[in-house]
Amino acid sequence: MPNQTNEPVDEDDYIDIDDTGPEGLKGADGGYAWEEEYKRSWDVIQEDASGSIQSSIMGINDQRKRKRRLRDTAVIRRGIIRHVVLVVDQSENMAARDILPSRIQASLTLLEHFVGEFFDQNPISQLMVVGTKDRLAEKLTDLSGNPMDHIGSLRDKTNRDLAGEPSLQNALELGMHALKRAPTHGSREILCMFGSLTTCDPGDIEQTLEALKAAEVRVSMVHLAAEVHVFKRICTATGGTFAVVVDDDNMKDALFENIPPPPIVNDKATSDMIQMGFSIKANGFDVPTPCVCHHKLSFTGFVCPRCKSKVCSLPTDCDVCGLPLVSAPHLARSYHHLFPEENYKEANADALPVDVSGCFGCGAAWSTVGGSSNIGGIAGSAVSAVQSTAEAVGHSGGSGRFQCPRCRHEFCLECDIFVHETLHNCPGCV
Amino acid sequence: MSEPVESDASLLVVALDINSSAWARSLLTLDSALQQTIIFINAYLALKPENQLVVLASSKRQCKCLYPPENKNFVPEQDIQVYEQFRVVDVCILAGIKEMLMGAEVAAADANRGIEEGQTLISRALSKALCHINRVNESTLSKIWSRILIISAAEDSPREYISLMNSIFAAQKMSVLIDICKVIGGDSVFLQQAADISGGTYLKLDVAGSESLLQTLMFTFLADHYTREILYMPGNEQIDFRATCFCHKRVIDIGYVCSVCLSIFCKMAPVCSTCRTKFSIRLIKPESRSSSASNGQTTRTNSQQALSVSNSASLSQGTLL
Amino acid sequence: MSSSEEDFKSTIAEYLEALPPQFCRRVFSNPAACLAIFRLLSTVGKQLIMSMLYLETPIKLHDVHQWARHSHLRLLKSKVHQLRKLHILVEEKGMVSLNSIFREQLRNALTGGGDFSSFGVPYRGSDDSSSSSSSRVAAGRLARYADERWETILHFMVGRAADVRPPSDSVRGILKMSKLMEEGADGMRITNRGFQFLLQDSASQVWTVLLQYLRLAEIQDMDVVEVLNFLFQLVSLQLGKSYSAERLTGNQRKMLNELRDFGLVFQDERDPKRFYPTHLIASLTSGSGSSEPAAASATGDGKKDSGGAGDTAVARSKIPGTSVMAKQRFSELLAPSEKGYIVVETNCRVYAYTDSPLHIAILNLFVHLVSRFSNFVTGVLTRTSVRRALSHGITADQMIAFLTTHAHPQMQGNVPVLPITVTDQIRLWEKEKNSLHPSPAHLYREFAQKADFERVFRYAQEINVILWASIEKRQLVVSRQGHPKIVEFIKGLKNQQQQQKQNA
Repeated sequence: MPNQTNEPVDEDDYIDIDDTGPEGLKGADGGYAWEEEYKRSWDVIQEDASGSIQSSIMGINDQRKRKRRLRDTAVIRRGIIRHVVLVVDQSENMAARDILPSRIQASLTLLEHFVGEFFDQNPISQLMVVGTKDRLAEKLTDLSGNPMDHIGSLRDKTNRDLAGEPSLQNALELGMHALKRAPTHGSREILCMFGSLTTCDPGDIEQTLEALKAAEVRVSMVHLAAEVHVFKRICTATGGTFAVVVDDDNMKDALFENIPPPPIVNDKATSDMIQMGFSIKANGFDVPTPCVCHHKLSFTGFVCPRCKSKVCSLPTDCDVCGLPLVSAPHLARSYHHLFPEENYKEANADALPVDVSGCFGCGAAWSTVGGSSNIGGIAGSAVSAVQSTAEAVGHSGGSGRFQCPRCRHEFCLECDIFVHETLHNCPGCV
Repeated sequence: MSEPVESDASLLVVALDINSSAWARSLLTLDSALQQTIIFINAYLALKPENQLVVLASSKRQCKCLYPPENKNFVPEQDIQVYEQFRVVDVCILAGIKEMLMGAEVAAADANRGIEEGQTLISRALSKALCHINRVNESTLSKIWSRILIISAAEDSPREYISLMNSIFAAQKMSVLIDICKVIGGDSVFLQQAADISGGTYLKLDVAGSESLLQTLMFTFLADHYTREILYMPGNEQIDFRATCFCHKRVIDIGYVCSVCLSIFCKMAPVCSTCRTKFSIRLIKPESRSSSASNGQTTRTNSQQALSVSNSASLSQGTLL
Repeated sequence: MSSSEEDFKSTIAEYLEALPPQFCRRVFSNPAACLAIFRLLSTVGKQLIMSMLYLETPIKLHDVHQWARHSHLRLLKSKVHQLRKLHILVEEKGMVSLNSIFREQLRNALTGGGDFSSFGVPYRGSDDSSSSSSSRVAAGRLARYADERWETILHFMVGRAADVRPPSDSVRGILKMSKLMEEGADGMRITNRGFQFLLQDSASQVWTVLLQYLRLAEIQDMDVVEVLNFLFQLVSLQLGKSYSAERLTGNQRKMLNELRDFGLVFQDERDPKRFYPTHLIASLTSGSGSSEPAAASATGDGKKDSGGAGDTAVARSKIPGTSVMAKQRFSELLAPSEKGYIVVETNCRVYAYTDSPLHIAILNLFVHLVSRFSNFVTGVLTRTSVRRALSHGITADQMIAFLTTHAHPQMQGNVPVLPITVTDQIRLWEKEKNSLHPSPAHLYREFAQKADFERVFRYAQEINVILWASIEKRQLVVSRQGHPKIVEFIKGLKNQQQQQKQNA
């Protein structure tokens, strides 16, 4: 996206344009996007001297990676305990095939990943799935902390039947009603996945908006087609985000933006002590016993410390006494949101000290960074190939060395991304 | 995730704990443990030509990568006795450890600033191991099944808890097994959890006999993903997933968790001691069941009454990008 | 046909199984051989050996069986059986242990103890200092040399003898002996078995040649164990290093010369004191030159039959999220000859980025080539072209495996690598061909009486020679083997009837 800027908004504009989003209307040179010359993707790729486009593609890939690299690391208060209602558009508009295989198929598969990832990152949060079609909103799953329930309902074939038009208002009302009962120490969010440009509502959606604001529900939306004014306004007014999907890759990015817990902005959010049960994993059953959650027989399970019933996976709520069951590691899993790793700074390409050792994380020598690793028995003819790759990366700009501001160790781009996206702790600082 | 196939290559990261003060307390000397580990590593390399290996060594204050050597110009002497592939690895490991131990003696002169005896930088070793695995995964096309073997001697250090847990979850996400061979001392709760969460195996050596380490390594930890599906692996009967409260370090069944920073307490308190948040007075018992069947019904009837009006309204409002 | 195919697929492991125990013991006395044999075993077999390697006392066979998860017990038992056939595992009164020589030498291989030069003697010439730089043969040159030699032989087999130099006599001898080629009216001619050979991956091809070499050694009264040990030593050498040829025995030198003709080793004519292993032989067990699962073809557990193609596809399945970039990197790591070059589309069109006449000739075996450019050929898989290949004895699985192993890096990411439509179609064509099975037969018809027909029919049924019969039409088709018996029977029947008439 070459025309991405953060220019100040022109207040006098008669159309309400918000240029702060990623889909800003104004181009890099100040003109509107449609006034610019159309950039063809194949023009960006340049052949190198030998007629190969490999180095060019690598450069683009590296750029994309670097863009992902920088993220917000300020230590702020985040709503670790989240209550999220997932609204899925099941209207006929979702049958369009502009995203393959179809909007609904692509959305549901992606949402499955989303649910898994969501609980991975927010283990003590709760989720609920709502579908909207035929001017109705229907609850697909209850608000619960068990990912399998939600994934199951998303996989359910009957939920892929599309009909009529969606109703945003009904979905919001339904979600809000469920969220109102959620405890105040957690965040309340509604995340919509919409493909329709219209909504068919029973009443005034402005009133719903006011109610949402009052209930401190944050509405975010990922739209598969285009920006719709009313949708966007609801999102911005409630403090949520609104994103329009450009292509398949972008769809995943846009949706997964919603996985890290959002910062808490309002002061009204209370903090509480939550009672939780830490259950013991028990392997030593002589005969298989059923679990209370799925009624399946198994030899292993986790025992609720209060009512001694057996559940098959953590985290979840005890189906008998309602005590949230977690394990100590689950709580630890959320810590990285509270104490994020600082971004590494890219070292200046000119002022590099001569250093024999490579990346502190993976040990790759600086000369081979960007090429393939030489670990293991790959020897002989492979070496020359690796070197040529390294050269290709060399002129893609930047030194490829990233320094942790705390421990002063240097890392390669791969490790930088890995440390911040997956590992969440700097190998040098621990 | 595809099932392992017999011909898949694997990547093994061996993390050696060479904390000298921990080894000093055991019957098994570091020297002999090292020899046995090297035989194990050779056996691993012998299994498949495509097998890849990373060896890390971790002491009290540093963690180094021994193989592949950090110094790339390192070329060992030729020796006709040993298979070429093994020899390079062996020489690298021995030289690296020697260097580290020599360095440690020098550093021992420094004051032990808050570093307790007998604790090792396990989480750094684990983080580095995962970085290595990530790099190999990124740079190869075919699926490589990775696992980490920690030969641990030192005790848990509580300050490593969060970083250790972060690493374990990263490993789980990457489907990397973490195997633990605890050579000296009592059980390590942290490492037990690491093995369990990542699907690896935890074993504590009972007797520090001279050959028992090697036999254990060969018998249990040599098996790759595929073999583990076929052969039984020793499992842990009961793993303690209970938490320790932050206030009294007591192990608790039911505790109270601060909703802001997730600190665990054994009793209600008005203020969180970790993040200084003041709690509201009432104790919130979470309501998990929000049964709203009737709710769904009402929206249904609502929507059927007034439809087309709002429909056109929202259309006119919509601005296309 | 089927028996010859079995023979063709036989592997080094099967060869070892067939060796008498005293021979095995001599083979095991060499650490390099132990290591090489160990690497040829299946994964579970290896684990079993390693589990027992440092056990001093025999253990109960029953206990070994307890190691397996219940659902895989049969697999474990078969592996134990295999190890026993190879004389690696010894059973006595329900107790099993490793063969003591094997155990000792494998330990030596792992620890670097024990014997001498079994892993090859590195060359240390008088000009040792300069040898590392100037006179050493570059890895690239070595690879080119090996590929050129090997491809010349394959090329010769494909029959473009006009534009290639024919390989040496010993090579031709082995080709002839292994029945990959036969002496025709106008020189050497490729056999059906040769066609199958061409489509194998290079590791299997090398093994086939080496096995043949072992058989040749037997015929020539060379010491098989010596040959075998030298082979195992060769496969454990390090690629890119030179080794001394000075301490080799006469037979070993002879072998070295002959293997050189295949491109398996390289020897500079000006410097005959040392030799270099090439990636063809080094990849067999050490895998340093090749990314192919080298041992896959040689594990010898019979898994490489019809399921083979499927396995390859799974093994190559893409990790979700691997970027295009990573794939490109991967392809660069391969030797040029091993880079994939074939693109297959769902409409059975085949595009091959190659200018090698050999590749084109091999493709021509089962692809109808349409056009040829300087570095690129296009073709179509048609019913005719595939049937022609099938009639040469090439199986559908072999074609699919060939296309899979040589698939273009762009295709490698697909799961499965080849479009399903194409693989299915090739298999269907094979089935279609096999559905019509010619067999020599005799037709009996115009039986005068129904009773006569029924008696003959029943008799034919009893001796199981009927290929086809129609009771309404009173017709019967009998296989050639059954024909004389039926004639006898009918004669007997006629005699009976005549007697009855006479009696009447």
